[in-house]
Amino acid sequence: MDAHAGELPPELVEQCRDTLEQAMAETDGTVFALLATVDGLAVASSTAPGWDIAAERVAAMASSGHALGDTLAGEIGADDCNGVIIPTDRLSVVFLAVPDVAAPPLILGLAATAQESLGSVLFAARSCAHAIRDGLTATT
Amino acid sequence: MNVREHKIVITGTMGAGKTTAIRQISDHPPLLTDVANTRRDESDKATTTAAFDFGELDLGDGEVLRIYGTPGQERFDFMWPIVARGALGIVFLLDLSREDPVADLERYFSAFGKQLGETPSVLALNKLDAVEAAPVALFQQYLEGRGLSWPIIPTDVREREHVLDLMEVVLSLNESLLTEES
Repeated sequence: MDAHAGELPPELVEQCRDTLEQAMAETDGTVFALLATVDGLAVASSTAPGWDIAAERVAAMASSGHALGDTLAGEIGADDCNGVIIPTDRLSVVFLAVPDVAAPPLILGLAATAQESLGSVLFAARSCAHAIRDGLTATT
Repeated sequence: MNVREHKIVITGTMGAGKTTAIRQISDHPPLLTDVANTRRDESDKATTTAAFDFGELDLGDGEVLRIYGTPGQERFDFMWPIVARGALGIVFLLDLSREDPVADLERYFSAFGKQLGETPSVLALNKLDAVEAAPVALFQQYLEGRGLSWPIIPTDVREREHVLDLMEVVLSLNESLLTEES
């Protein structure tokens, strides 16, 4: 991962990775979990065996997707974008803004096989985002 | 009345002046997809473009210019050809204050691939204050080596007239292309 990613100290990056791995262990069908800065740098990630996913590329795309969501929400008079959901035939992919983390703002991504309900993936992503927020708040 | 739309894309490294250029000529405040920049060691800018910038300029007679700016950092290179899709022209905006603007151009060339030969393009040299003289010959040689004969235009995108000139050159390149094809 990028040494500058989010300017989080290594022990916090490790803590975030543990949280991602825990979310994957607790949620059936998850294949990928990612924490990225809002400007597209991967902070930590975890990938299930048998999957080859370039976390750095996905982090940049998550940033673009989130920025587009924000711009679109603003255009139609909605509030800030809290997340982006990408349902496909193979996977359900969810990107959520980690709430109340000011510096640096973070995006949490979770992908699970489409056999899992989108609701359960969303719930898992939200729980993971809150766990990361709580972990960072407790140590900073 | 039917509106004729023309799309021009401005691409270049972070801080090259893409957003500034769009801001100078857009009839309304540009639509930005800015996010906080966490790499202040790379650039002192507080924010950076994550998807694209967008502005519009009414050309009169039912014609509108839609100007898009790409994100600057290389990690967003997947966005460059997406934003450039359907563009009638591309402005490659080079920041002459950077260490190696030729290498910067090379990276953009790789990412745009076959669009390079197909889309009328202009090489705009910005931040001239950083150099003694605009290295036009250097870039001319570089482009010739790739079989390209693009206009090379020293510019200052903080000046509205300069940006309008760039747009005019791209539009006329496109017009010449259409005339050749017909």
